[in-house]
Amino acid sequence: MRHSGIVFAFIFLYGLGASTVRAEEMRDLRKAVEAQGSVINELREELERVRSEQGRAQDRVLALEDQLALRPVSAGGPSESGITADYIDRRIEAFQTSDNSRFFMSGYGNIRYRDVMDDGDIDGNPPSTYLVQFNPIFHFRLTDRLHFNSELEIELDDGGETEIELEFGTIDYLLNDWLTLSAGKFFTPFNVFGADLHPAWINKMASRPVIYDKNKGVIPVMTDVGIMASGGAPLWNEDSKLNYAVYMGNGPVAEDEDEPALEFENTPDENNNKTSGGRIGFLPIPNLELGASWSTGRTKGPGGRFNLLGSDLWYWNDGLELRGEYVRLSRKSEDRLDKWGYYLQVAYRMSYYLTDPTGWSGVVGRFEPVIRWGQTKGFNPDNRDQLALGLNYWLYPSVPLKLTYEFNQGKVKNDRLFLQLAYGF
Amino acid sequence: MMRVWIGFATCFVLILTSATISLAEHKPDGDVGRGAKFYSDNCARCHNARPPMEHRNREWSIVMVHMRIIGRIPGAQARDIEAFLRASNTPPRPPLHAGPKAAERSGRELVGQYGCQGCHVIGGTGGMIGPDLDTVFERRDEAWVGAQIANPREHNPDSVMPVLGLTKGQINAIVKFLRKSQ
Repeated sequence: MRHSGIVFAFIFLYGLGASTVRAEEMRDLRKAVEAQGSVINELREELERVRSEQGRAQDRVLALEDQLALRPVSAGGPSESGITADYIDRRIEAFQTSDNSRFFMSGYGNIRYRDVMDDGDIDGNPPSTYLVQFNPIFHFRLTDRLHFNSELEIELDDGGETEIELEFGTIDYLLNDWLTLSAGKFFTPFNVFGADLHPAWINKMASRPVIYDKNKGVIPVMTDVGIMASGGAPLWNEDSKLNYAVYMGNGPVAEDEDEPALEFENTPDENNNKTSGGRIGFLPIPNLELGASWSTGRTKGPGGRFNLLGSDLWYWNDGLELRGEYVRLSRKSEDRLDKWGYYLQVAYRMSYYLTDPTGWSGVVGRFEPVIRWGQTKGFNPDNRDQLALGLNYWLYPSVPLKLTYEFNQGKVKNDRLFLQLAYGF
Repeated sequence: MMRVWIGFATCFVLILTSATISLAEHKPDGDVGRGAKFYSDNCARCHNARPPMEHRNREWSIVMVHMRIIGRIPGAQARDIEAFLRASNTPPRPPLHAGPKAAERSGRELVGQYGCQGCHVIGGTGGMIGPDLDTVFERRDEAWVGAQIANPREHNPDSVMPVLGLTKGQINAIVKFLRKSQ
């Protein structure tokens, strides 16, 4: 019994000593772990700092690469014999793409062949001729909100003369996301062909719709000099949208008191009476737009009030595009002079049917057949029915080669053939 | 003359109202994914979509203002389109410290991030500038689709599809996602 007590006492003392030692080890171990933890935290912070520095270094490298790419002039200068074409090209490129550059030039042009069949051209134009047109557009950003945009039209006309005209020239102020104020000469926001679709590389036909025919249509592609407020805003979701433009300008000039036609030459306001109008476009879904336009004013002479009303439609689905416009011009002279007209156009891009971009499918996919039907009716005795058939071949998204044949039926039969190469840049 | 004054008064009220709105306007940077969709929705209303690589970023920032004005595009959508054009011209480079997490990014996320549905139908919705990707594997195999994503001009020199600068792993993730969503 006594031995047992000694053994228990020994075990007790040993356990007491051992537990004391274990507790000390644990404390040391905890301290070591805590120390390691702080080291790990420090390393983590260091790693983050290094990563951050690497990111900044990467940004600096990219910025330097961009600078090098934007300074081609540093790669070479004019030769001893003078300024080389290469040097000029590089200077132009540097000017256009410099980070500080606020200028840019875009534009479009076309070369067109026109052949008049049957009774000859009723407008008195040569029966067959080549035409060339070049429209540079200059953009200049004065500030983030203030921009200047202008377009020149340089055209070699039927008479062999080169005509230069200011198509538009506006100073635009982006007041907010939904409103831009413009002043200067602008395309009148009436329907869509005149304001948006008339550039040769955008128009899917090599000729204008019959209602916009230069001489025998209802209205020309209209411009005006004045002020305009325009913009757009999403509606119930980002797929639905409303866009608008309202303007006030000098207005048109009456060609003849007994004719409904109006000229939009934008001479100074001849009767101190401004013309006002606008367009509202509604897109319930992204591929459908319905538009309504109006314009009203007074031209010189007795009873010179005129009213223009228009509507337009655009629908696009899977390569098929449908467009249509209606316009009605009313003038109150001694008699009421009304003229109205419309056109409908359907185009289909073959690439939406032939989805394979390679081989023959790729070639056929570049074709786009177009058909357009239009009429003008009203006071003018030269009412016209027009059926136009077209076939486009897209060499590039902004370079179409267009073949168009117009069947024109009016006072005289006046069919026309067009071949046009247009480009946008 | 009365008409002129009414016009000026209307403009003045419009300006005053809009200036108040513009003061409170928040202008975040554009969103690339939404930009791809708006690029498809807005540009195709009048003309073919122009390839993003046609202009440099600085040029696009000037052109987009012009297009915003004549196309009556809301400012926020115009900024999204510009962001898409810039992203298309400046492929994102993989970060220097890219870890395994970057590689794990799912094909679905990448498709959303790069706005593929701006031009392609995927899962029944999307734009129509590019081919329908819901049926792409009826015509093509995975290698062809992967090569097309890596270099859109591999099969069609005139393709307007931007070079996205994706890694091989990211391309594989997208191809697998497209295959699964068939």
